[in-house]
Amino acid sequence: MIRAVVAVAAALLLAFIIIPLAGLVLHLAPRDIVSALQTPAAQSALCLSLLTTVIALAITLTLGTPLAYILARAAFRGRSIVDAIVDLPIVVPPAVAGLALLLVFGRTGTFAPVLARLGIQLSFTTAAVVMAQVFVSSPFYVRAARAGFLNIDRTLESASATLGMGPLRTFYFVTVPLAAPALLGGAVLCWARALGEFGATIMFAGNLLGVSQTLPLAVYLNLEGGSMPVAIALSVIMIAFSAAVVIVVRLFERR
Amino acid sequence: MLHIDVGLQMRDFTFAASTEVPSGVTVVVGPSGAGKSTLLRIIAGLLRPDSGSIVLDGRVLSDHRTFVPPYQRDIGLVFQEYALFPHLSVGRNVAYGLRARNVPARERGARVQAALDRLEVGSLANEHVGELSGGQRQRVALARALVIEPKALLLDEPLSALDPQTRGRVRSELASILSDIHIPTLLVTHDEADRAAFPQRVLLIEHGRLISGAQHG
Amino acid sequence: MKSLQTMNRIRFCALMLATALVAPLPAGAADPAKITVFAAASLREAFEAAAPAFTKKTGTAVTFSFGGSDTLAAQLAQGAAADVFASANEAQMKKITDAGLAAGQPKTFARNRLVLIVPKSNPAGITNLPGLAKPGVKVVLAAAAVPVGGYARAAFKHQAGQPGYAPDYADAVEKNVVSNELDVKAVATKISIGEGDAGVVYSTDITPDIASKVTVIPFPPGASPDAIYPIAVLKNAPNSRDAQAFVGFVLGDGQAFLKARGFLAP
Repeated sequence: MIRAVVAVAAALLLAFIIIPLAGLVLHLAPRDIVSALQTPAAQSALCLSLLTTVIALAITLTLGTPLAYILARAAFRGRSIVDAIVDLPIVVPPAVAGLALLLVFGRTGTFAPVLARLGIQLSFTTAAVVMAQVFVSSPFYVRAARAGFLNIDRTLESASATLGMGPLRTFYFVTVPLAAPALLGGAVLCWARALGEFGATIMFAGNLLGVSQTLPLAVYLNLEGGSMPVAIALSVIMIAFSAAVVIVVRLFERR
Repeated sequence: MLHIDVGLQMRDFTFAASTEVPSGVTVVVGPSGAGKSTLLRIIAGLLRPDSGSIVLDGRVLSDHRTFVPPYQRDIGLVFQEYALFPHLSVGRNVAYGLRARNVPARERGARVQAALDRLEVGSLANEHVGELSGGQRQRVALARALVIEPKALLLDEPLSALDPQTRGRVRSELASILSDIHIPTLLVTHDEADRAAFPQRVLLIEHGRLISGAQHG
Repeated sequence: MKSLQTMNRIRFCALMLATALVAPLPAGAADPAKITVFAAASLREAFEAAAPAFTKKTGTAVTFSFGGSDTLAAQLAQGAAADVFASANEAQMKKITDAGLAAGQPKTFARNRLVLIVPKSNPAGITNLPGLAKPGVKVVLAAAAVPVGGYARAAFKHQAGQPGYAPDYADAVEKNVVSNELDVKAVATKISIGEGDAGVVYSTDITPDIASKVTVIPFPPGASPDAIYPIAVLKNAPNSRDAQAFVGFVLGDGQAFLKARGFLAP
């Protein structure tokens, strides 16, 4: 009896996830999806999203890995505060994040004088898109990487040291390979979150075709503009991307 | 010759060790928690002492002015649970220290095979570490520590991870392998039976203090 | 063999659960009357001021959903439940009538005018409409499908080739657009915090708060026809009687509130 209840509960949630996605994917004939994707607006959004999310991921991996390592290894006062700070962007609503970025990095923001002197304009640029994506998605990677590093047997790192590998080489030959599944999983989550980012993007980077109109913005705007086929086609693409990446990563993990 | 004369304030006791370890095997016996692993970690450079010095073959590894990091000490350490890298094959495990020293691939391969053969596990080069028995793991760990031709060898409770049946056999094999090595070798253990297998030099350690024990002929 | 106590507990819980599930169902008759109004973002201040008067007069409470008229129209087309739709242009209302979602003919209840706003600091030195075409000016508009964005672009097209405006004026301004916001309030906000050099909003969007942060430049006469705001009761309105009353109110007593916020008579 209990087993049946558990199974039903599980099935309900699974169905709730699959049915809307399937409904969306099956809404248009493949032919219509393809032709909608060939519009310049669709292609621009696709390219922009791919470009920005890859750059955002690269930045997150570069800066987030050391941070995750420090949080996992170094014991310092206020470490739990830093942990909490890292988690903040997950909890803060994206629009709030966008507003915060705007008020600090915007034209009349806190850093405006410095940026002006350097001749840099951040709001309404593709750079702003990347900044918004990094802000909202990096915690997903840092959390996963930190957990991955914590799970590594420190004795192995000590062994590596006694055998002659310095800290950097130990990190490369022992720590990273052993943490790889966690790092990979975190990177995927991070990328997916960046891909879906909307609120912070439109607030800080604005909405301009080719500059800041990423896939989610394009979906939303095409929905309004009455171009449902394009909105649906782009949504299908996003679902396909996400599904593909998730599957590839799971396959990798199984290795 | 390995000169040790160090002190370290720990949470439960004050650790103090002062002795000279000549070539050959020196056994350090003591109960659990006496500071045996601490001694090895200090010598290996994984722990920094508060005071004193460690000198190996005339080279200062640690004193009030210098501290040579573990990856530059050239000291082999066989860990209690062997610490074999689970993501590397046996061969790659053993080759690890040679890689650290930038030994070219071909020479690496030859030396690894030789080290494994010497310990009679030559056929295991491509095996997965997880598939090995306790005794095999111990030999691989030993091969890994020895292949780099260290200036000193430390063994942390090398037999305690083995089941009682295997222990006796491996003990005598280990004694025979170590008798062939002519570098200062420290073997720490809580098992009195190990004393008998390595009679040359025995030290006692208790509550963090290293005490010279009786020397047998 | 469960004890009698446990059996009673189970029965009690089941009864509570059943009551909780069933209780809300006959709620309709007992609830106070209310209506849901989907209205263009530019109507926020006027409608929110007018609602208490309507409620006092009729006893019906009003819940608003403000947003870009295109967003609202899209939601209604997808089946969102509302009683009244008030749009900032006829194009979005036409979507609703074409889809057969309106009950009867929409009525125009207000008109609005476009204005140009620049931050008080006026970084790009804009003093009139032609200035928007200067290279490097950062123009913030609503998306083309949002009424005010549509009106603005229509005005630019209208001005192109007129005395004082280059033939390619509309294209030049479009090139300067740095963002297509989702509703008129977002445009006003961005300009008021200094993001962007100039934006186009309705004269009614110049609230005291915005006024203190921007300089308003009226559009030249004839540059843009007035914005037409239609209102309609929706066919699938949950409460069509009170919906009709609200429309009647907007066309009648409610006009004072619209006028007070700067809307023009229909």
